[in-house]
Amino acid sequence: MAYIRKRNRRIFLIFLLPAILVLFLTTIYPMIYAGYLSFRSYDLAKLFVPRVFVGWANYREILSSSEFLHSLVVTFKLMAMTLSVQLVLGVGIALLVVQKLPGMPLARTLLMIPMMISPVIVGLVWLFLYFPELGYLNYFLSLAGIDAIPWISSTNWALWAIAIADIWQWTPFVMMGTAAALQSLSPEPYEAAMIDGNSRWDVFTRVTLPQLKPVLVSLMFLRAIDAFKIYDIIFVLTKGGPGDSTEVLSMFIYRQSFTFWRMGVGAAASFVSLVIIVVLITLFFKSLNRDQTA
Amino acid sequence: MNKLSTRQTILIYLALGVVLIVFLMPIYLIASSSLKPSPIMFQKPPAFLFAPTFEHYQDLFAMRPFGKFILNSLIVALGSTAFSLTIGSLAAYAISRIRHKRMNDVAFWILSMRMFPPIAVVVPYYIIFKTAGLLDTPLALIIVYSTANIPLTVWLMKGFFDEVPIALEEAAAVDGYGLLETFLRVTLPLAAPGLAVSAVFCFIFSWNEFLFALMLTGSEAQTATVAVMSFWSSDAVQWGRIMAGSFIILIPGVIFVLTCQRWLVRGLTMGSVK
Amino acid sequence: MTFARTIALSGALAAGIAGAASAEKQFEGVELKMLAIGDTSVTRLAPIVGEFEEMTGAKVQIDMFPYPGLIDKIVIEASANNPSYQLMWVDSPWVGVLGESGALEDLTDWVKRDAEEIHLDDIIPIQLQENTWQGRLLAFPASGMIWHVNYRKDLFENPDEMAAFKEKYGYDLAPAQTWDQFIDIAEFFTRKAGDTLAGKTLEKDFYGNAQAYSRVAGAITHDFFPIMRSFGGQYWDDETGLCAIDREPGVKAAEVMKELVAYNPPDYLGLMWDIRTGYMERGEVAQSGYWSVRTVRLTNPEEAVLPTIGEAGYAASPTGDGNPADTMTGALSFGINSKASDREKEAAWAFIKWGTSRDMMRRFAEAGSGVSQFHKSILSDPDLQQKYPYYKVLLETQDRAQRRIFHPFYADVEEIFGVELNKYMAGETASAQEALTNGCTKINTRLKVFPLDMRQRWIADVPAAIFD
Repeated sequence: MAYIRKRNRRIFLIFLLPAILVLFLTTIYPMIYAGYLSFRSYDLAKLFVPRVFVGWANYREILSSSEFLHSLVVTFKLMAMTLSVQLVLGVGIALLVVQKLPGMPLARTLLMIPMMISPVIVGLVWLFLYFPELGYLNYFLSLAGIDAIPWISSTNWALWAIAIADIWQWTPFVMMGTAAALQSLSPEPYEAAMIDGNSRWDVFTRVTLPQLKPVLVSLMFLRAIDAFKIYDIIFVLTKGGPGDSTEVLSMFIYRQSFTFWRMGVGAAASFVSLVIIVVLITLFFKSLNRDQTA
Repeated sequence: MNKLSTRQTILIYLALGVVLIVFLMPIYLIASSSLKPSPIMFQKPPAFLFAPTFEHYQDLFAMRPFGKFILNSLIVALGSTAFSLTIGSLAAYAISRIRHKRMNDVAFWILSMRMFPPIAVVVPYYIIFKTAGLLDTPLALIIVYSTANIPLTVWLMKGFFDEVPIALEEAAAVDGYGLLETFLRVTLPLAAPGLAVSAVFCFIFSWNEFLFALMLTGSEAQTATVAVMSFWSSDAVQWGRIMAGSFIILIPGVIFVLTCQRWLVRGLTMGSVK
Repeated sequence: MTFARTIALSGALAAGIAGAASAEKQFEGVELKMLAIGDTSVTRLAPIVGEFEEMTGAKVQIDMFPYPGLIDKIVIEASANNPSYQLMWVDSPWVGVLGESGALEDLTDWVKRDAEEIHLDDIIPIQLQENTWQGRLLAFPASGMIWHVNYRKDLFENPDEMAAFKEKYGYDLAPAQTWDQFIDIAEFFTRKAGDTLAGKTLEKDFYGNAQAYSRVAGAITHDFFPIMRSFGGQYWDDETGLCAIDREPGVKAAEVMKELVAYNPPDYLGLMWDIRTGYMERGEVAQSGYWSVRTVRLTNPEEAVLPTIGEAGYAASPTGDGNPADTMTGALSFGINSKASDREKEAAWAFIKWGTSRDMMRRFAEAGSGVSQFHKSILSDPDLQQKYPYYKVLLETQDRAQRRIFHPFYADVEEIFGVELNKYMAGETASAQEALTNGCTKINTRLKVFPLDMRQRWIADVPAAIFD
């Protein structure tokens, strides 16, 4: 035991301490500063706004503001839309590209390209596609006899437009992880299932999916963290509009911190959103552990 | 798995064809728009056949020092990747090996660094870097990106280290290897796919980031992504130049995918299965 | 006198900088950086800053950033103590917030000192007033704009169309004087594919009008406020210093825009400035009101391709009752960071004088560059008027022009009304009154915490003491 403890301490010092120090040094000041701001009235641009301690006023304002709650709802709506479609599409495409057929490795490679592109540029390209009159998307739809869709200029469609761009970029991520997991599955359960005369669909739902579950959960977890912070695509495509239909949490914080220069309110909103995601993730891990022990 | 019938094979290829068209269409759009003369950039129906022009690429380099901005992007992305991999894989190893109940908290704390909305810390970072004289230097961006890249590396690499049997390390210790030597010579090579996948994600994130790059740089350290966006002006959006710049920016990502595809796929599953 | 000095002298004279010749390279060693965007007011200047260095010794570097996010960068820069940028590109509505925080150097005394050299009398006064805050001139115009109407002259002068219009509406087809006429014209020219327009069968839909309805970067407010002004509207209540946008002129303006929706392209809610102007430039709409910075593209074949280039007409903004009313100006300007050193400030002022001088502006005009001009002599030059027919409108309307909003809470107004108006146009808010009242309530909540005298000071347009 003593040996292990000594070894642990050395591992800690050599291996872990640098990371802790680096992260601590590079994030502690910004975090403390943001925390300090969140209790103050602090307008970066308008110096005549008194910069004073306001207690919990910023937090109270946010939690009672319908705009903040609205942005929270939009964020979760968008998360649900993107994650569910990415999951289904990603697994579906993975099932296609793991077939042992010529050309599949190349297809897998090509399909990974979207996630290598800067989200800002993804936004710009989709803006190009979405222009209702002159965009490519509505042109293709018109070839199929479908009327033009006001993608980013209708409150009904805009959130879907954002979701589609995000789905386009990140389905490959789910596809890639799932495909790799599929390839590493052991063949025995399949042979047994086939001998039992199950249909393809039964085999998939009863044998494949349960084996994939840990990978899928992990992939969705990584996607969820990023989806909660989604920002660049909306910044380029709609800036929260039309109306307030795509006003996600990040846009709310951006608007408060920059457009209105209310740094205190923006910082408070950031901490509230941090708490929300940390709580969600903790719950997520708890339920995961329960699943594993059960 | 059982053999596919001809009909099934055809169906699979058909479906795959549709998928490929959908996912590669926007890429084609970037490439073709970057070569499209401005007057026909927007037309109804869109122009698919046209005499290509390289004017947008010429403008891109004539109107901005775009070569320098690409170099900046490279320095920042490679710098942050190297730094994050070093620090992050060491930490991941520690978290994987130390059996202590507080380790989960440490891991969670590191991961939580990725969850804070970046917008809230832009101004604090600005103030720090201004004071330290680091504003408008690649180092500032390397530092900021590493705070996001280290947690990701730790998260991915921990899974790989967990897979490396302790018995191998114990054998190395018997052979007289020190702690660091064991890590470098035995454990790390076995986790190489993890390093590859972490490297790609760190690089891509740093290469593509926009908000901090916009706020923390001027003409010296401006990155290519910001430079491309700067063709979005108050009176016009220069689509041709934006598309030309976008096409150049997506080249490194594509090269990465093409060269380390195999490692990437292995790496991602192994790491994320945990 | 050496040859080099002769060159320097002639260069200085050519650019209108008197006195520079006496000092040899007055600003040797000074390095200036400018925080700017890639707007025409900047891109025309950036390639030739070497000439300025040649003359004065000061090295100038212009950094161009995207318009979305630029004001954020300027405010952050202004909040720091040792400046990275000595020169700043300023959109005129920003002078309030930048002025109140003391970010920009007062140029009043310099302008008075160098009045002759910069041809002060030749500059349209409202363009200077546009950059004034509390009696201080905080930036100098590099591009002066007005909001006006562009139309397809070839259609307006087509005999068939003219006859059909007269028959339908009972008066002659001409650029609209009132908003009712503007709506009539928009309605008249809205045609479906297959219909006839000026004797030709249309292959695709044609629209009567294009305005900006997008809330991205507050685009919708950039059209709404000029229309509100043309109805005689004001932003603020003189007594209380609170929001007055929800009064009758504002409501009328919002209703005009709502009525025009039917004659706009179907993607109206997404129409940004440049997408809207694009419709006009491709000749796909009959008329469109917008800011004159883009109008040059209708005159210069190298800037854009209009099917009937040179066939575009230009008119002043319509008004509520047809009588001339206020039009709206705006200026894209250069300012000096108040935290720069004295020598840098002098050099920066020399640069501004050089880059915005009458000779430079004439040079741009002759080269066909799209800078919206602000010197009377240039705008009234018959040769240039021939080349750029809209100069006439630019010159004539500025006599009764009013400046844009300059309140320190400008960004709040733009963002909040961008959202509220956009919602109204989308049909989510029942009435214009309700949308505007919502907007005013939100603004007033922020304003009411400040004392009355402060609010009144913010809305007072105190002229700078530049003219004796």
